[in-house]
Amino acid sequence: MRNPIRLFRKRTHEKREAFELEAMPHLEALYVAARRMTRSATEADDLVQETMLKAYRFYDRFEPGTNMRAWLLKIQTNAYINRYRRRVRERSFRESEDAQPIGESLMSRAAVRALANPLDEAHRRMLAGAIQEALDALPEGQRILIVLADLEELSYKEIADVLGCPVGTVMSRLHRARKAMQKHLVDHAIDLGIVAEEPVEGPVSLETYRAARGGAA
Amino acid sequence: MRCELIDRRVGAYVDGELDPASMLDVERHIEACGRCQERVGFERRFRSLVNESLTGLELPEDLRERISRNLDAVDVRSEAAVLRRRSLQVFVAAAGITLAVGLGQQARLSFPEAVVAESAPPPQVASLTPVFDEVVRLHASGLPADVRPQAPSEVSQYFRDKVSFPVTPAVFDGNEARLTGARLHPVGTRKAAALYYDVGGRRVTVVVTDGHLPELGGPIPEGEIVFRDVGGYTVPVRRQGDLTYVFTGDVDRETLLRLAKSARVGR
Repeated sequence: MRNPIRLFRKRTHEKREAFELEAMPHLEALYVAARRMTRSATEADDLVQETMLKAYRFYDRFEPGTNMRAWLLKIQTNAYINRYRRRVRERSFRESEDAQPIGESLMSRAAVRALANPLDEAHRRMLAGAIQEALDALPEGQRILIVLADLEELSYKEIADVLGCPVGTVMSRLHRARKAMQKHLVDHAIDLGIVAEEPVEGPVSLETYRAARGGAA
Repeated sequence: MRCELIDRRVGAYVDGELDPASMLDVERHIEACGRCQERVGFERRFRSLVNESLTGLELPEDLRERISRNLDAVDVRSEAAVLRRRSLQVFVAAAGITLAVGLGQQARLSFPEAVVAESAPPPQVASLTPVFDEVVRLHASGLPADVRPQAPSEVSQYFRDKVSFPVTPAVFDGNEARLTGARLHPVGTRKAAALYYDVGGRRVTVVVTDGHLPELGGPIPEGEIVFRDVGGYTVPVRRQGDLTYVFTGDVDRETLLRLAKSARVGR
């Protein structure tokens, strides 16, 4: 039958079926990412709806064989940035975060060792709360990076594609974001008594250095 | 390589994102450095902690459905756009409907797939399905009735000085559909009478207006049911004299078509 409307309906139906099959399974991943980015259940709900609508409309632009989840996350991340960062000038948003100085050695070796060793269930649960807080406290751009890299486990290349920046920038900004999270995590672990407080490595005063040397070695 | 340099790369190392040469450098250093081994262990632990701490959120229970409805709307709109481009087409329920009704009330009605009848393009069509859309919107919004009549004649009375045509509510055989209320509601640029019915606890809306619907391209034969699916609703239309009756409701297509067919309409 050559009826054009029937043909159109058939195509629409096929497109819808393919979309349901390929994109819908990523709904949970999108929602988790949206919750962590927006920090709000209602905004996340909204954002995911917007994402799926856009994805469906532009479904023909998806390149078969590439990562559907990364494609959806790209749509969602950009929708999020557009929505919530519209007021803030892009430049100030990026530069201010990169400009923050970070110490390279914020953690004591004891803390690193304690957290690297197997943790029991209770401690893991306590730290889970600290990690959520730490993420919520991050500046927007860094939070997005952690969500894409550590939560959604996209490759640096995919993240660079999502954010439209070079891979090298992803690497250095991600490093920064993780440092900030890790600092928060270790502080929290010390508060909880999971790791012992100890002076951190790095620049210390000469007296402290001498005292430590004299005392320990 | 110094430990501070490793610190800067340990994240990318754990992510497997270093170039092969840097990878080797880091590995060589780590093999010989206890401090940096712990560092790698910590980085891995951090990654898994982040992952397990931030996942495990439940989807809002109706989110999936809402998205599905949004996609339905996209499908409907894109079909409308195609139809607009291709002039106008009317979906006519197949003749089987008349036959089945003729068999009597008990006969189970089954409707062959809608037949697509291409009609000549109407002289002027401003927008594709304004009336269909409007009726579906009105029904979905569940706006309150202006009157809650005891008898259909009260409805005719109510509309007498409000619209330019006599409103005769559709009457259905038996007690299947009960008239529960009526509301004056504009459809497009014209005034129309919206009639609310209760069909086995579900809402059905019938909108009565005069003249022909622009989207149908011309008068439909009396007694014939023309329907279209709009936003998840089936919308049958029937003409009786100068009056057009547009039906929709929270019942399945079969029931709605049967109601539209069996309704006693007109003056």
